[in-house]
Amino acid sequence: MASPRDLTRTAALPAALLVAALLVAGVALAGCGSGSDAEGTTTTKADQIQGIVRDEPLQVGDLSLPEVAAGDTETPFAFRADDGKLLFVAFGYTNCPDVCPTTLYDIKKARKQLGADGDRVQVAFATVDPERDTADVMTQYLGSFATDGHPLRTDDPDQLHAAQDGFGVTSSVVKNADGSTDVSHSARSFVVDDQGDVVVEWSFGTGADVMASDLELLLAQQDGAS
Amino acid sequence: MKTQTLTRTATGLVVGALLLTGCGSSDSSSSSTTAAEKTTTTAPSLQIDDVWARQSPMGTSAGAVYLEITSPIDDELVGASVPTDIAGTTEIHETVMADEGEASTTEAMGDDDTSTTEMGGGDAMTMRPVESIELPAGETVKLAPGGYHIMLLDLVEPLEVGDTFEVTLSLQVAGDRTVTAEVREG
Ligand SMILES: [Cu+2]
Repeated sequence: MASPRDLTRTAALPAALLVAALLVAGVALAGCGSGSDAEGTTTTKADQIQGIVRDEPLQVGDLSLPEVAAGDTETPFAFRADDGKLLFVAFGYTNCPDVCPTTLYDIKKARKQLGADGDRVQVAFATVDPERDTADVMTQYLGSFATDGHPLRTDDPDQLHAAQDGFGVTSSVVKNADGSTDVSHSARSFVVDDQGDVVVEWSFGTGADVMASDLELLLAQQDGAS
Repeated sequence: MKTQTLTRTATGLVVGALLLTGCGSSDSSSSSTTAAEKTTTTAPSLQIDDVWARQSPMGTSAGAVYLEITSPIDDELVGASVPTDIAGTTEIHETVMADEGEASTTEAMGDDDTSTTEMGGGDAMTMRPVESIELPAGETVKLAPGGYHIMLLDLVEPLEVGDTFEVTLSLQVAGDRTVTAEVREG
């Protein structure tokens, strides 16, 4: 029975089991349906910000990084949302299969949840690994999560560090003798308002539901303030 | 996700077995016993559920496979592989805090006490290969974003939603098991 050949797939279930299957189908589907239940977030509408809010907000509006586009054009991009909007910012690298796409996918989902207001949330992703993340790679990569996203990249380590300092994050890229590269970077993400203030910070794994809830509250606050 | 706990507790093997059918991505050595026979006495089998990989963003050649695994005995996941037409290299990885020590979880949701916490770059993360993952008997070990993953390097082609591919897991005691991973959006 234990020979690998005997390992049954789903097809050969006896009828009795199938009847039982109907009874628990809801359970089974719920168990499999969602790929991101790790966050354990709920959809309860919160009336307060659930991410991290500092007493003294970080001010990043005077910092900028080059925004790259296909064909190597660069335009300075300041960390300040357009009027009446919010700017999501994350630092990472494209060969990151785990942390970065999780966060970027969450913000993609969160914007979708906001409906029409999703367009009032801008998305910027800055690479900490510019050597491998060329302008073309960055443009394509971020396009998978936000077609209107702002891919940020600089070859100047000082400029990158200045921007990271502003957000209180760090990163390192270490090339190993065997040709592999170890990258570490802060997994935190940020939301900047149209004054250049960081209005909320999210730890890794915050999840789309909390992001959407926070963004909704922040957009409403910004509307009230203007 | 209340149902998660439900499936994992007393409802036991019947639900467990059906969960597998729900996912279509697991194999188990339980074959043809009926539901009634299976309720209490049969030893549980190795259970591998919810095997999925994230759709590849454009421009990247790295991917990750996630799953949940429950071994009936103390075992270890010591290796993983995928067919060469999927990825060049497969490794078991763990995402960890880059700096030791101050890795305290400061996710205090909406609490005011966060202002007292040092917030500078304390949550830098990196991933590193691991030799093995412990599978304590009866415990469901999750390979999930931010923790363990099966790293796919040099993807031959981008993974697209709906694709499936085989992943062979090597267990120290139980030997090799091949399961099917499904590509999801995220
Ligand atoms: Cu990895």
